[in-house]
Amino acid sequence: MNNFFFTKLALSNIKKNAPIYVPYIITCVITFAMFYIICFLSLNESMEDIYASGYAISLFNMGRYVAVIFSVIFLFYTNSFILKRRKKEIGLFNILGLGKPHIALVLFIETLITFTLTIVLGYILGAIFCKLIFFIILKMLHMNIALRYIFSFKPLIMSCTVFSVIFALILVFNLFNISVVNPIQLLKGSSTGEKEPKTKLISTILGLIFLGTGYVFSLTASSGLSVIIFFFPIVLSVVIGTYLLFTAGSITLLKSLKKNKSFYYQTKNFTSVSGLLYRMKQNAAGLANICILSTMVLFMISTTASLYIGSEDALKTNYPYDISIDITDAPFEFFTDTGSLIMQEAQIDGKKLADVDILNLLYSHSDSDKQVISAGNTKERSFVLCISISDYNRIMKKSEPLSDGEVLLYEKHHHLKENSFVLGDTSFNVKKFISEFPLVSLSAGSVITSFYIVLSDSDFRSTAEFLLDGKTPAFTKNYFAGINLLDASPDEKMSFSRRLYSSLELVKNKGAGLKIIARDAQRDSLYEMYGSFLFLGIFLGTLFLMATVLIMYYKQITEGFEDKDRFLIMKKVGMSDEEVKRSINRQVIMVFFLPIGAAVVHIAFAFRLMVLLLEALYLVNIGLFFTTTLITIAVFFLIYTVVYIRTAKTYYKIVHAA
Amino acid sequence: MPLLDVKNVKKVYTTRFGGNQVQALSDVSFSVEEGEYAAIMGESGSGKTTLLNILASLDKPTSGDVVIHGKSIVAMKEKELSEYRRTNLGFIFQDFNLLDTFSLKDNIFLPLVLAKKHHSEMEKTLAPIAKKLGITDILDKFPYEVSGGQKQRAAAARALITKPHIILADEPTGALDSHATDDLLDLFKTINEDGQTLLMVTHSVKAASRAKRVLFIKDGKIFHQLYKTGTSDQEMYQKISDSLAFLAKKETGDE
Repeated sequence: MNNFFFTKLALSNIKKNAPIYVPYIITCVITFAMFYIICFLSLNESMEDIYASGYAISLFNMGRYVAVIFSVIFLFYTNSFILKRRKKEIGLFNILGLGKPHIALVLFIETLITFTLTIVLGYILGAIFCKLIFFIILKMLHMNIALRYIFSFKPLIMSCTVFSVIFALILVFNLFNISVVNPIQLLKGSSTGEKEPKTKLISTILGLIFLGTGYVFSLTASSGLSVIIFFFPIVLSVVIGTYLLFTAGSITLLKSLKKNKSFYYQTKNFTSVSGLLYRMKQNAAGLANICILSTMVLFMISTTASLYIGSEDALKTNYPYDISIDITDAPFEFFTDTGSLIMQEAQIDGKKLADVDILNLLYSHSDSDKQVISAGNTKERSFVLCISISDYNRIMKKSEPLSDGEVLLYEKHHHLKENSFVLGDTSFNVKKFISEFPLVSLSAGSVITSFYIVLSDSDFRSTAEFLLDGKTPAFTKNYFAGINLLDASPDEKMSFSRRLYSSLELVKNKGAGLKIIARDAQRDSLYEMYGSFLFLGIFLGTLFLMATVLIMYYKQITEGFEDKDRFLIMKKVGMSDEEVKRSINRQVIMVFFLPIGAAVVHIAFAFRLMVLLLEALYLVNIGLFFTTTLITIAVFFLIYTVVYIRTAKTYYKIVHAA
Repeated sequence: MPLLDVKNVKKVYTTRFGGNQVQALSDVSFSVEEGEYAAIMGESGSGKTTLLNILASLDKPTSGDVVIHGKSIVAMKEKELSEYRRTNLGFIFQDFNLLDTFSLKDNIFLPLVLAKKHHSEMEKTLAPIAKKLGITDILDKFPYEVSGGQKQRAAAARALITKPHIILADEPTGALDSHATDDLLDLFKTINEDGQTLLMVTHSVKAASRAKRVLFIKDGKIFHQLYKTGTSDQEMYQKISDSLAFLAKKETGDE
């Protein structure tokens, strides 16, 4: 009987607080559904057979961990908004004779109701979207498997466990919060006097230094390797800088505007500057969060989308031939044997099936830490690949003349400042820096500074002799055959490469290193990798975007309640409705668009970083990346603006309901 | 011509649900001459706040007219009104209505900033007023840093700074202790002696006894009025108490 009363009270509480409770429940439901989906993709036993390699599974697992951490932070954050708004009501219950244990019981029942709604609605939503997303993923990963949707308990159990822990933690947090304060404090709730914030010059300067350091590093990063090493410190430095500038910098700026009397005492600035000062004091951290979340969304979606869209490009760069054969450490006679073997395989019944390109290459082991090239400032470990001018001219269909002692050099990052360098025992002059090189993908990955050198035929021979006599173990002479199949279907290409591979087994048996790569086989794993990247990018992007939107919504609503009284006073003192509206608008726009503006600036500065990162993954089409980033920003902006318009409307309604 | 002329003002509220009509003011007429210091007294629910809101042009009467300085404020549009409020009316409220985000000085400047005055002019206008009200030293403090009496003096400064035709005070002593109340009432007397017209709504007998004229409002009508001319504060206090007792007796007698 008694319990029934408390249940009724809890239900009516939720109903009464609908404007703040409904968005919270929606948030919980969507977060649960998304978590369920990522669990479904990563925990479903039968999914493992579907993915060709481990990429997708391990990426989705990572996504799951991010989603857990995110859900905890996010739900706590939204809960604290509600708690703040409800303190007064709880204090009133307390004064009217409801003991703290009873209040705890009411809160427990409320949490239980929210939890049940979350699980049931979240599961329904998740289950509906699972099928769709499953289908999308198969398409994105280019998997030609008949759609079979398998139910598994594991994801559901996992999601329920995680969310019951989160809800329990939130309940404990709320109970603790209520138990430590007395009813009078509860009654006062949020309306405790706010002190004017103080100028924090040191924090502002520190913020500028952190942000500046991050920006300078990302602008001066020279190669993919340095990006990978410094990526985390750069991000950290920008994050710290953002927080400091939002919290301290904004206040320092506004305070200095306030000191400028002829600026401050103007109708349009007077209320805005002082209003913003308090808004920033209360919300700076939240706005910095939004800025960083937005930056992450933009970063993730534009890079993963570019990778995915640029997959074909990457394949072409990575694997210039349909089939590439790379043989190392073989005695010379095998080369000729292999050559005739390949030619033989390439012709069936006198019909030519493929174009074969056979090249002699010299290159440094990627795992060598020996400095193989010396020129003034080049101290870094680098990758060197040499080719003779006749091979070069043949592949590139050019007739570049080159005399002994001269080289053509391809070096993307322009590390070489002089026009000459020493390789082996000879010094070479760079005749020309070339902008294209046929076998760029043979490097150990473009994170390492790479020199692609074209030598004259006799230089190639003598350098090879010098480097391969055992004194320089870092070098190998390679035999490379690039095969382009004429008029063949993907299946034919696969079967050709399989046949080729078995014929070449004998080379392998004799101790030579053999690498045979079919581009179409690579395509599948590439799509799986980039497809899962993109999916994860969109998934987390959506999650973060939802968070951004909701945090904004709650912020504005909470502020609306606080601003209501302020604007009423201003009206009494003689501010017209029009002026009130304009003043509100200016502040709301500032608060709304400051974080996303800062995020766009971050992205602009990070652009070079992202380009280098993508180059390391063989995406070299900067134009494509630029367009993708712009589109991502535009879409993000659009969604954000729609939310702004909706929120601004609700805000006016609250403020005007005087 | 009186400074403020209230003619047959009637105000009927329609409740949002059910459409019940509540008559807050039935027929109020009175006028205030320039330089007067008048108090309106009444029980809660007698309609005095409604009346003040109408005088303040924050609310419109159902019928009747309010003329201030020869201009009807009932007919004015919202945009005109806000400027009118700013230049012709000064407000003092029970709960001060100071903005927490502004220092006392900025609170006082607010109407001048809205009137687009130059900053140096604002400072010049403020200096004598602040001196008279004794708040020169606390101008840079924030509302939460000063006492209730100091807050109310700052609010008075905000009302005075535009040199309004009339200052409307709504229960100005309601949130003050007796010492601060005395101070504020002395202040009102001084500014009235300087020629400022004051109209105060209150249910404090003490506050009303300091006014030159007291109007009693009951059931939405002006019921009775007292003039102070010649009587001392104490005598006036007694007269007001008697009138209130009479009003209360009449009510019980009606039943």
